[in-house]
Amino acid sequence: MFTIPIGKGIPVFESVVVTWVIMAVLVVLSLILTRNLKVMNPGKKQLLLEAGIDSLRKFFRGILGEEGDRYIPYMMTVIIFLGVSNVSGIFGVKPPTKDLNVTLALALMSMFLIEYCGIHKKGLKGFFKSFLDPIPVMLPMNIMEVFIRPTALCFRLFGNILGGFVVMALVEFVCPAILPIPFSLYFDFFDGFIQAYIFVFLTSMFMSETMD
Amino acid sequence: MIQINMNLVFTIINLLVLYLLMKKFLFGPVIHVMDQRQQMLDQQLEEAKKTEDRANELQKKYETALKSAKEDSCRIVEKAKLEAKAQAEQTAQAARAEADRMLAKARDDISAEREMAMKEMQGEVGRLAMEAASRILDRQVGADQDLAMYDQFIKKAGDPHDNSSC
Repeated sequence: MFTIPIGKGIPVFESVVVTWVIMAVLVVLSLILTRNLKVMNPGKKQLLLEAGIDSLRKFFRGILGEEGDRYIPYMMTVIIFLGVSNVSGIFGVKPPTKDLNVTLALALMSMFLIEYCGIHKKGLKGFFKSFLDPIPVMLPMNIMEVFIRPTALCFRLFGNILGGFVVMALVEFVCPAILPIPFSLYFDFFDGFIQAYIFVFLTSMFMSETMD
Repeated sequence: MIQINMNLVFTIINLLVLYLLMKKFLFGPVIHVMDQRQQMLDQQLEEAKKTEDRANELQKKYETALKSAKEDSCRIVEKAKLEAKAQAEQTAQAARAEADRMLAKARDDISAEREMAMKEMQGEVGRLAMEAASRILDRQVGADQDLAMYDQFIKKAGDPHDNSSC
C-alpha cells in the first residue's frame, strides 16, 4: 500500500497492487501458453489450453445462448481473475477479493453488463418496458433488483473471502504448523474456486434473464 | 478495512485493462486457432463427402455399363446361335435336295439304259430268228408269210419259259 502524492494524496491499496501483479502474471502466462499455436498437430500444452478454454466457453454458452457469444471473453476473464485472486492467499499476499473495493468494482461491472445486455438485445424502449413485466405493479421491485443483484454478488464474494482470510489468520495464529493445510485447502482452493464459479454463474444467469 | 474510495475506480480500470489484455493475448489467439481448425475439419468433411458421392456415382455408372455389356453379349450369342442353326438347316436341306436330285437322275439313267438294251436285244433277237428261220426252212416263201412267222417267233421267243415250241 502506498500513496500517490497528488493533492492530499491518494492511497493505493494493497489489493490494487496485488491485482497488478496478478495481471502481469496472467499476461506473461498467456504469452507463454499461446506461443506457436498450431492448427494441425497441436502439442500437449496447446491441447490442455484449448480444452480449458473450450470447456469455459461451452459453460458460458450453455447459460447465455448463442447471442451471448460477445460477452464470453469478459466472463472468462472474470472467472480466471477471480480464481487466481481467491487462491492468491496461499502465496502470502492478501487476496484482492478480500477488499470491498475490488468486489464492488466487479459487481458494478456485472451490473452494467447485465443492463447493457438487456439494452443491446431489446433496444432502449424495450429495455425500459421490461421493467413493467410481468405486471406494472412490479416496477419498484424490478428497479430494486437492478441494484440488489450486484450488491448480493459483491457482498457474497467479499464476505466469503474475508471470512476465509480471517479464519486462516486465526488458525495460523493458533497453530502455524500442520493444521492450516486442510483449512487452506478448504478456504483458499475450494471456497475460492466455488466463489469464482458462483460469481460468473450468477452474472451470466442474470444476463440471460435480462436478454429474455 | 471496509471503506470505499478511489481504489474502486482503480480496480475497474484494472479489470478493463485485464479484459483487453486477455482478449488480445489469450482468448483471441486460442479461439482463432480453434475456429480455424473447426473450419478446416468442416472443409475436409465436405470434401470427403463430395468424393464419396462421386465414387458412388461412378460405381453406379460402371454397374450400368457392365449390365448393358452383359445383355449385349447375351444377345449376340443368341443371335449367333440362331444364325448357325439356320445355316445348318439350309445346308442340310441343300444336301438333301442334291441327293434327291442325283437319285432321280440315276434312276432315269438306269431306266433309259434298260429300255435301250431291251430295244437292242429285240432287234438282235429278231435278226437272229430271221436268220435261223431262213436257214431252217431253206426256202423262200412270200413276204407276207415271212412277216407272220417272224411275229409269231418273236412272241414265242419273248417268253423265256416257252421256247421249246421252236
